Amino acid sequence: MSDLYEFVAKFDELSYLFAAFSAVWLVIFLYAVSISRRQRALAKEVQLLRKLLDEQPSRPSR
Amino acid sequence: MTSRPYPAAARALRRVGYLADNLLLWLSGVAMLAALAMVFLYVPTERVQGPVQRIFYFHLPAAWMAFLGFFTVAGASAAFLWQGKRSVDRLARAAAEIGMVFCSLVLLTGPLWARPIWGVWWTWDPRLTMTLVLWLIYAAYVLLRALADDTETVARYAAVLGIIGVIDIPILYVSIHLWRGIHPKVEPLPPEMVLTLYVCAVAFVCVFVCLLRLRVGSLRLHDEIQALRRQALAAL
Repeated sequence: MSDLYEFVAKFDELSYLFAAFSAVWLVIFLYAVSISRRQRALAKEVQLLRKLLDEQPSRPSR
Repeated sequence: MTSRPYPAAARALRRVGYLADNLLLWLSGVAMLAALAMVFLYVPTERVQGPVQRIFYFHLPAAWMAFLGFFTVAGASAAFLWQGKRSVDRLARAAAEIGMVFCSLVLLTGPLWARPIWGVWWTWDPRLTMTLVLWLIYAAYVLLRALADDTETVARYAAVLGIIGVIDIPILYVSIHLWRGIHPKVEPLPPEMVLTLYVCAVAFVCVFVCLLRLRVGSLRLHDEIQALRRQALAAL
């Protein structure tokens, strides 16, 4: 019975340890993914705007 | 026909930057794996606290990176107030976000350690309270930058907040000596634990720099878009 109690106590501690490490990896990973996504969207918009500006006809001089 | 060295130099610099970013990404990955290996396979289990003590090897480096981020905010904000350069403002803004990420990790991992050791998730211990105050100050900074208009006035107000907020860090650091609390004090550690802690710190520094470069890059792209939009409107 004491072995079972010890097993449950250790499992409980390890679950906190697992939760802490998972939290660290998850938070860093999610933040990195969110920045990368935003960066890809911004880079596309930059390309589009540059293309639009290049295609715009230049105004005739007066 | 005159030569134009600057576009070529700019392209070369961009290529170097791209290679450095990739190298840093791989280095961060390897360093984090090494840190995990040391925490779970190398470092001995602490006699009193048991396996849950291993949270310390990520909790403390996360706190150091939060401080690094917020000190960067303060330094870049001071430089922005002095010189008015947009690039240092971008650095301040990015560093605030990254600092917030790591400060959030401190406030997540701390209670996960505290619950099995102290029996409670949270207590109004001086160090814990000051860490929460620090998180709130820079949360205000990040929200201000995210929700207000992106003008120089807002950037200046935020810079002042970024500089004042950093005063919390030395207070937080000495809080365990100034006031009575239950947060563990710094004690001498065995060499294996010190080495593991330093490897984790190096891994976190790599991740910090990686994230900072990514975020500064996206802020730079955002500014470029604003400039191109103004150009497009002017051309109409």
